[in-house]
Amino acid sequence: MNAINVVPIVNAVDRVQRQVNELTVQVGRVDANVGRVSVDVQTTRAELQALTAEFRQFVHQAGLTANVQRSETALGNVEAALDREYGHYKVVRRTSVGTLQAFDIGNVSNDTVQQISEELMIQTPRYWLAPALVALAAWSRDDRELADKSVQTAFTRDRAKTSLFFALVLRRQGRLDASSRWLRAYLSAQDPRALGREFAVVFEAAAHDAFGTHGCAAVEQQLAEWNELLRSDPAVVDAQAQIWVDELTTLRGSVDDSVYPVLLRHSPGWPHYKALLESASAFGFAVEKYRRIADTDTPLVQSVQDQLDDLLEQLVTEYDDEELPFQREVAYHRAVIETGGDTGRARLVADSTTRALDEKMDAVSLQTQIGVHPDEMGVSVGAQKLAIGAGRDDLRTAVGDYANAYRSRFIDVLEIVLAPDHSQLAVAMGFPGWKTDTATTQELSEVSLAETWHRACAGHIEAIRFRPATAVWPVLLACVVAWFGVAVFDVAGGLLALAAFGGAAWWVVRKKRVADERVRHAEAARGQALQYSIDIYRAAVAEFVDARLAYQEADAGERDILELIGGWPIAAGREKGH
Amino acid sequence: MVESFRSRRVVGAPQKGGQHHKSGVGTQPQRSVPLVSPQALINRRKPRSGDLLRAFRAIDTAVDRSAQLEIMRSIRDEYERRQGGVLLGCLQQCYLGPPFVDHKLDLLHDIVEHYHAADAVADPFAQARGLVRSGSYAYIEVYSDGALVPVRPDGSCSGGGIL
Repeated sequence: MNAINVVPIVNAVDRVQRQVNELTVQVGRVDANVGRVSVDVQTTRAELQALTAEFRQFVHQAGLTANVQRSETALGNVEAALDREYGHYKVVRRTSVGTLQAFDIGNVSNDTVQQISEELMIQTPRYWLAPALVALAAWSRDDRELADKSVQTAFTRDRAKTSLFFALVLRRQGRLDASSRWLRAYLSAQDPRALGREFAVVFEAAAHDAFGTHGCAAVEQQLAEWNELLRSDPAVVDAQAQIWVDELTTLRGSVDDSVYPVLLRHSPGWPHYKALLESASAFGFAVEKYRRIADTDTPLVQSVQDQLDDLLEQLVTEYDDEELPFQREVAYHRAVIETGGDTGRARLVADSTTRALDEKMDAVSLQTQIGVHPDEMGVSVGAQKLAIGAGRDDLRTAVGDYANAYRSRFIDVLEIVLAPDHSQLAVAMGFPGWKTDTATTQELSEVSLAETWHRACAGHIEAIRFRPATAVWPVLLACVVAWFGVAVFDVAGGLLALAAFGGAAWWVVRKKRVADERVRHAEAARGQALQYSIDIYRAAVAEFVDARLAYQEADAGERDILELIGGWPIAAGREKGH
Repeated sequence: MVESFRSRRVVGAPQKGGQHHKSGVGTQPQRSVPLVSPQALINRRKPRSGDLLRAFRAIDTAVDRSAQLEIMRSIRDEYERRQGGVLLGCLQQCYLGPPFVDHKLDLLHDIVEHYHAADAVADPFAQARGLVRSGSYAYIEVYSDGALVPVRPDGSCSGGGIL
């Protein structure tokens, strides 16, 4: 019995124990290193994502800036070309105004006027205003033959404009009968389905009573006839509403994404809702724009003389048909610059603008265009007010159509999605992703979010939790040592058994403490991650509440614009065609 | 009360044809009958009377089947007098409360059908759902030619009448 020497065995067990301990320490070190590398990778990934987002934003911005720069260059070129091609028209226009003023004052000799007008006649072939100017000079000299010949030439170059020019000039000189005759000649030369842009000037004249009673009555009567004729076609009526719908579309505001950052990132339906909000915002801007127009007093203080001068000046200074292609390009490039390089929006704005520059349009569309684009039509606010009053049924219909179009896409629920990478902790802890919607109550959503987090971390926490099975091996070892000790050394063996059990117990308790500590840490991290996710969810809901209020407020603007249209100031007896 | 609602509450059953002169129209394929006289289109745009709007408001409060039939008959009569084309029915916000969000008045078959948000609504009524949900209209008329006419709470029709 006593021949067995257990010391080498005990030593060997100790050695093994030491090696195992060393190995455990080394594995722990590797584990720590792997953890550190993992954290580094997460940080790098997050930084890379931020960088990608920034880069995309930069590329987008650079594209917009390039668009603006291109348009600025193109605008300069087009304007230079316009000046090169039609710059000499400007000289004729300026001279016409100057000649009329010189006649008023009487400080320029007939010879000078004759000489200059004849020079211009030679320098500007094909332009109707040059022979008209020669005719004026001849008229002032009482040279009937030359006057007749020149009027004839101007009339063949541009019948409508020449008629209108002489109607205005004669009215200015107090020759009312002759003026009315020219005006009637002008009106009879018009096709109501294809009116030239200069008819806007006549409309303006009617708005200002500029042709005297007879002349204005002729215009109003003509307009009423045309309206009746054209409005019998439902397509024409629909087209007017469409022009107004386009106007409302261009009045849309744009929603600043920085006001709704959480929805932008966590709600896939946000672009849809944003579009709704932007569409509804048009009413507020429309009310603002058109209330200002309605409140503008039509300047009645000006004498008829001044108004006529303005009209005449408009007729001779506004650009002519052949310049329109250039004007279209100018409108587009200006729109690109104004919209900060957004070519899509610029095209829409430019299309809406250039439609007003179209060479020919029917009498009803012309009135609508005067209402929508007075600047492009070259008319005053007074004429615009009159035109809006005449077409207010179209505007009312358009408001309905516009509202119906965006409301038919109405949604009152937004989905909120927390992606697996919505936070660094989510990436680190393997969050599977979660979604809810704004119709689900906050309580239910938060419970479901907590459950998702619980499930996401359950595997990890279970893996590190202390298991009673861990205690089996040391206890068994202690049992073996105790049995062996008692069997071999009697009393001393009893002490060895106690030591073995004590050692096993110490080892198990230490293990449990470490495991408990790790579980506590993991749970704290989960709690922190959950709180972060809940914060995002709540912020998204709060932003949605704000967005909904903003939508309701913007959408209610429909009532205001309808009220404004209902109370639109109409001059007595001026409403045409209804 | 609420537990007794089924997910889709159907009041009344389709009538066995022949009783209404219009009962065949609803079975025709959509948008195959675009023939509407210009006068009907003009009539469609005339404001709805206060009586008509009150009748629509009363639908949700009429629990009794006969009362509902009475309301629907008055609505149908009013639309026949207006002569604005064949009205298949209307879609309207439902005031019964959750889970119901909207209901359909099928004027051809005398049916009131209440829907949950998740329920599918048959075309052409389905196209009117967004308009109903926007809460801006008293109800949406659906015509046999496929036109949807949203009616504002003041009885005026919104837009040119065709979507």
